[in-house]
Amino acid sequence: MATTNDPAVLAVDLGTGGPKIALVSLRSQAIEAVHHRVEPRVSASGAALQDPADWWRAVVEGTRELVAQHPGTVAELVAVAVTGQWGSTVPVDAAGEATGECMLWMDTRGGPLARGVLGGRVSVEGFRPRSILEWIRRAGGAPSTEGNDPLGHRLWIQHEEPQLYARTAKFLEPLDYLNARFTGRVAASQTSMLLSWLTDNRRLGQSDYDPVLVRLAAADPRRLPTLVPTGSTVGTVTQQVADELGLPPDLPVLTALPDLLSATLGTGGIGMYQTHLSISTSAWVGCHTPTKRTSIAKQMATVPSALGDCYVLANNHETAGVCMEWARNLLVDPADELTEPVRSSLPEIDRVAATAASGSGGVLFAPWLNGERSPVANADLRGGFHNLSLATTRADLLRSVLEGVAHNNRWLLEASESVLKRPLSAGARSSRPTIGSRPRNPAGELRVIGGGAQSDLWCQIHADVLGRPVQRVAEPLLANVRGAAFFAGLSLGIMDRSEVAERVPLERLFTPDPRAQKVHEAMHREFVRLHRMERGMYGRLAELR
Amino acid sequence: MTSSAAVGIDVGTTNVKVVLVDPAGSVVGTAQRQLVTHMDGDIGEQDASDLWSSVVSAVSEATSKAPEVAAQVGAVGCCSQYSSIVPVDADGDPVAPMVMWTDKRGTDHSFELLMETDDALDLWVERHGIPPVGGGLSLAHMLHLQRDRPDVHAATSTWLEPMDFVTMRLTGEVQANQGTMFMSQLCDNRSLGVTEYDSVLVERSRIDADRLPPLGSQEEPVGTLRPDVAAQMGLPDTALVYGGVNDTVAGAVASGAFGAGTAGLSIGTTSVLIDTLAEKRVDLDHELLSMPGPFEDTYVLWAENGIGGRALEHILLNVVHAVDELADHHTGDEYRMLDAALGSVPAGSNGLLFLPWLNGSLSPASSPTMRGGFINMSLESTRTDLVRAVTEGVAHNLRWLLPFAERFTGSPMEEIAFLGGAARSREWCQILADVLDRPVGSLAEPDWAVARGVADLARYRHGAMERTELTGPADLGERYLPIEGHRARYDEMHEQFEAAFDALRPIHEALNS
Repeated sequence: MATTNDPAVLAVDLGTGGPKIALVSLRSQAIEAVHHRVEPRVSASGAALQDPADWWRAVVEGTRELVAQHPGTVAELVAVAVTGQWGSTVPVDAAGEATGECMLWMDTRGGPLARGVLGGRVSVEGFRPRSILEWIRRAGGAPSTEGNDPLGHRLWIQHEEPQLYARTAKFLEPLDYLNARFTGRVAASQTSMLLSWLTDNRRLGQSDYDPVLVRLAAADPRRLPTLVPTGSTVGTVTQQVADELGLPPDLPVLTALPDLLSATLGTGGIGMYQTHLSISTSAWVGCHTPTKRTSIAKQMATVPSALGDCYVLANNHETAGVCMEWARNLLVDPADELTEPVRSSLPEIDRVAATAASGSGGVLFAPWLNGERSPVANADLRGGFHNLSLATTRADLLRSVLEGVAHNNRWLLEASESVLKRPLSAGARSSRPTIGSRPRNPAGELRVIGGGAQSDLWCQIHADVLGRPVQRVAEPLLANVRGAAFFAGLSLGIMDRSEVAERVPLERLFTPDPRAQKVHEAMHREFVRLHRMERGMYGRLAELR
Repeated sequence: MTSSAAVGIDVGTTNVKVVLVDPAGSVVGTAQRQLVTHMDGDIGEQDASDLWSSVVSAVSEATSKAPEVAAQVGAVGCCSQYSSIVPVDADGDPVAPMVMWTDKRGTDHSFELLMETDDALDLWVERHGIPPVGGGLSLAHMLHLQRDRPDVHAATSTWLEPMDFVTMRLTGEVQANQGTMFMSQLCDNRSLGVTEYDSVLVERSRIDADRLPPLGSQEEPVGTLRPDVAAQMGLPDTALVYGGVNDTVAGAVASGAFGAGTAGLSIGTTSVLIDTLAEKRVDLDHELLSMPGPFEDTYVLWAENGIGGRALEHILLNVVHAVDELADHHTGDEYRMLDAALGSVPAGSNGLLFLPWLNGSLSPASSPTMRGGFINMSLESTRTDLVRAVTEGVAHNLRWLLPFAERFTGSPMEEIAFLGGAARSREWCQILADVLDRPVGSLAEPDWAVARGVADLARYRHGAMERTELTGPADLGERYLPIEGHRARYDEMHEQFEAAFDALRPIHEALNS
């Protein structure tokens, strides 16, 4: 490996909308990135699928583009780091080639099978009482009873597609699948496999599955990928792939990181409880924590972090940024021939949404278009526009989607504060929990990343709805690739932790507008009641799907 | 029998429609004019002088289409939207804009009457039917004009409902009747054919009784056309003008609701279920009332289901064909593609449910703070799903009302005659038949059915038509039968439609109080 002044990492962020491929220079923080879209195929049956070959093709093409344009940076490459979506399942053969399509994290078809394995005649939140204790004690969390994670996916394939199951050697997360394509080695890590909940996370640095949890999950141990330590090198890029992509020989490939973990590094806020909000296809509120904690009631847990000596708060909204894509296809430019096609980029839609007043003329949008995960796990929930009047316009509806996602994020943030028993903000805080009542004004600023944060309007709406300042990290869409590159730099020992915060530029602070904040405050009280009022109805409507 | 041609004038909220009917009962001329409502918060007003000009010009156009028939016109009748008040001076000229049924002013004055004595509620319910709750009723409008606008009140000679205002301008005679003054809440409706206001209700309301129009019999003509008006309209000045009716009563005539087993359904701005019954009844829990009908032995069901056609219009104009910075998609005929769009989506709109309470809910469960919505939206929802869901949502709202209305009248609504412009949509007719689970017939020429109903009523009063002929089955264009395969789906979705009302009511109450 050549000694360099500005070492660079080839970072891949596999989003649900396709991979972003980037050359990240660690010292200068120059990032060159391309995004190749791969759309998920969603159907009313609950299926959500992608072809893994499409991802790899996009990675190959994207890398070749970058290599051709930035030969100087390529010469500085020191590692490959893969991050992205997690909780999805790629069935592969012994060589790491996909044997079937990837079941995405939003695929819920395995729900009934998952409930069969996890539940019993007497159940707590859908779990057998004794088993849920084991899950929480050992893993800090448990597979979903809604089927939208690796356990549900594996059960679905096993029962509904037995031939596919038979020719499958291992069930991999998409990230480990990409690593297998780079290195030829099928392997995983404690962190990449987090949503399988099969490792004893009381100890960090595990490279074995917990036999009790494997039994509770009814998993076939032979179909689980070998674990290697988080932060270790899975292998080097094969000669064939290096040649095809135009990469230097023998480039090490690090264990893959779920996007939550890379993003937490990529925000620069890596201190304990330094909190960020990520708005991409889905959304989450994340921060490092010193200890393990789990809340079944609020559907969140802390999981081993990329740093190796602490945890990360993990929770997830099922649908966030995707709601705006959805609104565009539904309200602005559908392919139904009722109106002439219009140009409707998301910035153009923002401009129209900005013409509506804060509060969207009263319209309250529930963004649960595909159910919800945290703070309530309920795959039956669905979205809706509420409180429509004779004054409602399209601009109101579009703005209400932006606001509804922000209300959902506030709901999640406040649930996170309640689970961690402390106010959360982007400022570093003492790791000592507050005793007794919570402080009266917990509204510290929050860092925001993800594609959704590119919208000025949406950042402002978040500041107004959350009632606290929102600090946008520069190039918010690239926080994950930046974090993945940091992970490589830290793991290879070419940078240290103190450098992480210094190297992340903050771009713009959005402060709450008091008048807008007041409007949203009243609407938020009703927003958090909505799912309770509607869940019975949605439970019954789900049976009609 | 005297053979006679007739003119029917139908003053709606959004337009005036006029039909000219020949002595054989066929429509030979039609015309319509648009009306503009000024809305601002609680206020809803129309310029009554513009309304009168629109009537004159529409009648002139309709008569010009068949002048030889117009020359034989012996009877003229007018129906209108109601619970709206025009204050006029001694010359019959409006002294302020008409206070429309959508106008909420005066509600506080009405409530004051209700609250000041313990027996007020029972008194009004027993004698009239509706307690003085305001919220757009004429009594509240009159109290508002009397107490809040002294200048207007000083200049006012008489308060008139729109049909009586038109009748007055046609004849020069100021005369209302028990039916047209229903929403003034000042008549004892326990018997029909009364020509006096109830002295107790008048006294309790502290209304200026000298501003109330005298009441006449519906059976007798109010007068003949004024010569100048007759000349402008292309009609003989010998034509008799019969007392007005409200458009629900005219709709009952048009839809054949006087026959057994048939009920009328009008989906205009609002959805109204129309039927008849023999006695005065009240069901306050579900906002069902009876009001005086066109004959002195029949009441007409008052079952206002709230926003109906307006919901579809609103979604089409403001969402589908929106005009905003993204596009100008107004085409002038947003309904052209409606049936194609409705037909492209399966029954049940792929699970999407539309809640039509855009302006609050009325019968069968009234809530002024309730609002509408789209629920059960998924990543796969499409815009055509939205459009179909709107028409289905309006149908579910009617289905919700139907059993209460049947219990109220005591007779099943075996078949529904659908009138109003919405009946032009074949798909919507089918959706109504499916959701209501009974045959739905669209009236022939549904746009003109109400105007024709009031023309027929005038011919009957004139002796040119038998009552049996008038109350016989309606002239149906097409009949739609429920599709067996859709029943289970709509049954299940209907249950959740009602559940959505209960689930969301508290949220909307908090948001809109």
